[in-house]
Amino acid sequence: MDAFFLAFTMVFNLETMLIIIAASLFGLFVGAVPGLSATMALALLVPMTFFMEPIPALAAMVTTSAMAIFAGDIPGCLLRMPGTAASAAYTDEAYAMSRNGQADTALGSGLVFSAVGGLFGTAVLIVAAPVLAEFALNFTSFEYFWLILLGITCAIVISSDRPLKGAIMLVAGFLIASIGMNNPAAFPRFTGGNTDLLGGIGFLPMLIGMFAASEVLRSALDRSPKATIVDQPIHNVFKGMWALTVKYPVQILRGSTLGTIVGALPGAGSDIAAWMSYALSKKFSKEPEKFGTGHVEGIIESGAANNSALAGAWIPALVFGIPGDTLTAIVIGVLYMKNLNPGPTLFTNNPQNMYAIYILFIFANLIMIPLGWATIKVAKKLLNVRREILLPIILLACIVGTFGMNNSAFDVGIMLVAGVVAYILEENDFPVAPAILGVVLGPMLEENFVKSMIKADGEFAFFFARPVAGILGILTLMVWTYPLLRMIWRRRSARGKAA
Amino acid sequence: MKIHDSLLGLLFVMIGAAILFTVAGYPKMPGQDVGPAMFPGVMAAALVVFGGTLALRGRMLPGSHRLFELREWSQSPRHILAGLSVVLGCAAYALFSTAFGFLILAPMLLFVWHLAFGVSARTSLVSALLTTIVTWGVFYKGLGVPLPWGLLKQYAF
Repeated sequence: MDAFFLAFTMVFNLETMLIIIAASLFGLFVGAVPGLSATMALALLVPMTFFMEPIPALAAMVTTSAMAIFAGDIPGCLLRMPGTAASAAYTDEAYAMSRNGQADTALGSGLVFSAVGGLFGTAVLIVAAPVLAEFALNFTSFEYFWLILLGITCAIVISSDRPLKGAIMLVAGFLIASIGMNNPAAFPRFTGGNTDLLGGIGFLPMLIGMFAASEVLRSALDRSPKATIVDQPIHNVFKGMWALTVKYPVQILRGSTLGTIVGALPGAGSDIAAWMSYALSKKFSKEPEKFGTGHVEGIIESGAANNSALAGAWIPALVFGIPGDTLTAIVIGVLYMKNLNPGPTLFTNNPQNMYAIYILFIFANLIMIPLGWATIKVAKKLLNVRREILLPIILLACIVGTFGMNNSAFDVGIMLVAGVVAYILEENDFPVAPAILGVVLGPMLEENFVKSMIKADGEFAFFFARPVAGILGILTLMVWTYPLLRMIWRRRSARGKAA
Repeated sequence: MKIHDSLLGLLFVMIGAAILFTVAGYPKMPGQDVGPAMFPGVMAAALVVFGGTLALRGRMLPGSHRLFELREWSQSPRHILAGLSVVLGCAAYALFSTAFGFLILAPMLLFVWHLAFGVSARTSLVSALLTTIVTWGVFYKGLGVPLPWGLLKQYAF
């Protein structure tokens, strides 16, 4: 109980509260401006967290991501341009509602059910994370090795419609993580004699380059015409929300549950959760013909899903150090930076930190309602912000933020290269998120692999000797061979039919 | 900038092969079968396999077989200039910030970026100066980031 009260004081103090308010406004602003993603918001925030205490830093991360995911609904609804990828699934629906004069309901349901989904995901995080952590206390390098492999495999198979390109990006991330002396043998790899590279390629310059500088470059080269705002007045966004709650309780529960589960899967984040929930909502709806014409049911379900996925993604991140999505990959970087190394011991050694994270999630989802309401009120002004003025400011923030971590101009160069390469690869349909997963998980995978190889004395069969490791290993191999088995099965079926 | 998958696949094969060649010379850990070459070696082999698959698939799948294509921005000098200004501006900061200093380089870069993005000269100037002062205040004074003084070192405070 002492730990809980300690956590309470760690969250409810002036410094943390001010940071929460500032991070909320920042997240709402970035989420509401089309073209600026939630990932970009977090990437730009990381240099600031370097100068904060651990809990205020985590508070900034939690509130910014939750607010940005919700705020992405606003331009989707009024401009037909999703503010973040997590809102893309129901942007057409929300825009159709706005054109039908129901912008209040579309924005209100996005806000209220995002908060409900977020609170549901938090409840699952509170219940599931400690149980999993206790289980994970018995894990050895064999279990961790397979768990990481299974996680990254899921990240490629589930989260990308281009698994081959996703796999290439993941491998590229692992190789980038191999640069420098950060390996079990402390041998300088791929440094070319450059002392700046001995410590490896910094996570932050890569992150800011790939998710912020590349976006600025894309916007600089973007020739698409400016979208026009739907000219509909916005009144009381909370009107009719209780009636919708009573009408669609199953959809709210289903969206929240699916979102939490999808979020907890490594690599699959809020955007995948929203797409899956929207499809599920349409499939099980009593009025599927209304979908696409401005029907609120899909918005409720997928709106709940995308915010519940946020909390769900923290479960593997905190318990195993395996990110549930790109946002938690960034969070893991911050956790390491703050000496809050993720893993089961985080729960046993410093329970107050865990309680503080739970409180932060609950608080962020609760204050989302008044702050989100205020953002909706000024939405039209926000959407008219001139991006051509904003983008150079963001670019300077990228540079100074990157420089500020190590006071290194070399890092600015890394950021630039990462940004340009990410831009080119994204233009060629390569998903960049797996590369960040690779950079985060690379050292962990190598360490557990080498440890296991030494313990097993080079015998790979030992990797399957422990029960949990064996199950995880077999599962991983099944996922790897599934596409091949499916191809053989289809060919056999086709031959059978032809005969 | 659209590059054909077969070309990109080939590029990844070449990178993977170069890494395999490099790690072949790495030593083993004393008394162990594994060493610093193991992990990047496995990953480089995977890159060769995946890159090769991408290249072959790119050749076999129907669709455009043009190896290189520029997007619509290549038709617009303003957009080319904006893109170039982003890349060259970041490079200029990485190379010259220590020599010139933040308070000289940042407003110059911001002014150029604003102009390149299509903002009027007056607004560009005001925004560049204000952004520089606010950024300097937040990072240098507020967070203690030692932004370089460069030519203004004697006036540092």
